[in-house]
Amino acid sequence: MSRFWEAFVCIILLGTFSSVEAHPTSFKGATSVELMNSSDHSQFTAHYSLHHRFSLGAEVIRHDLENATSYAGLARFGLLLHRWNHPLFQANAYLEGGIGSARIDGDQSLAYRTRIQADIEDRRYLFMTSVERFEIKDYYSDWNFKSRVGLAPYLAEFNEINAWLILQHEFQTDSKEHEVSPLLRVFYKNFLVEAGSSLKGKWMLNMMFHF
Amino acid sequence: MKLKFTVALLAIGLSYSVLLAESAKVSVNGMVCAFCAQGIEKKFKDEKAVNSIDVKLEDKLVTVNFKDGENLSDEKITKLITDAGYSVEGIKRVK
Repeated sequence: MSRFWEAFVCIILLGTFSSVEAHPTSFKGATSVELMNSSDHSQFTAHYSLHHRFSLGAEVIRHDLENATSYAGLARFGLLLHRWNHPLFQANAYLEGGIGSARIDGDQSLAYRTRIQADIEDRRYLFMTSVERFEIKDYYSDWNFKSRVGLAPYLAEFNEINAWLILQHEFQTDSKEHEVSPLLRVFYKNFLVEAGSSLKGKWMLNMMFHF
Repeated sequence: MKLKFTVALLAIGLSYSVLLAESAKVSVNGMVCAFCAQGIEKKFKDEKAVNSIDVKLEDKLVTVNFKDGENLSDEKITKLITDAGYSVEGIKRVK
């Protein structure tokens, strides 16, 4: 894909939806654009991998609270703590964090988030789990626990359309609600999209593009 | 006669350059996801010596086809694979 089309697709994505439960770092020199959208949360993240173990970037997070909506802009980093490259699988441990400012009810406040992620996958199965802390000082704080199991219904090759069936469980201390969501993840080359809905009807649309 | 001689020389030259074109078959550990492995393709395509690259997830194999008379050292290939986030198990040269 030429630079022009890569830029074009990026602009389209930025204009429509907003991150994916993907790796917080990519290959050295990669620029990643991630968009995550659900009924009460939107997140746009762009980061550059200075090394396959370390990325820097920025993110914008919209979050619907009980009586207000918060908008946070954060400088973020992604760190690959360890990777196990095995002939049959790959496993990873990541640390991700960000700090910035949030606007809520016309006020500005310090916002930050920290996340730890561990995942393992082979060509047929995947498992991921993460814990995230997001806080807007004096207004909001939440722990988010997320786990995923995935199954590839067929084994696709490198330049074919790959698909995954994913079951996600999420628990947030703020809402004290357990959400179970079946998701479909499809990717082709460097473009990934996943969509689904929780059993309670909370929809999700996530995208990622790296180049 | 002159023309035949020139054509023969060209044919020999072409055959020789084809013979010089080399490939490297690289066994890569951790290469299970096509989306993440895009970095491997990108890293090698940025190299002037590389003509084409073929990634086979099933075989955990990356085949690097070089341009005529060009090559990359094993160290360079290993660095490119490492920069993409993977580890090299072995490199086999094929003429």
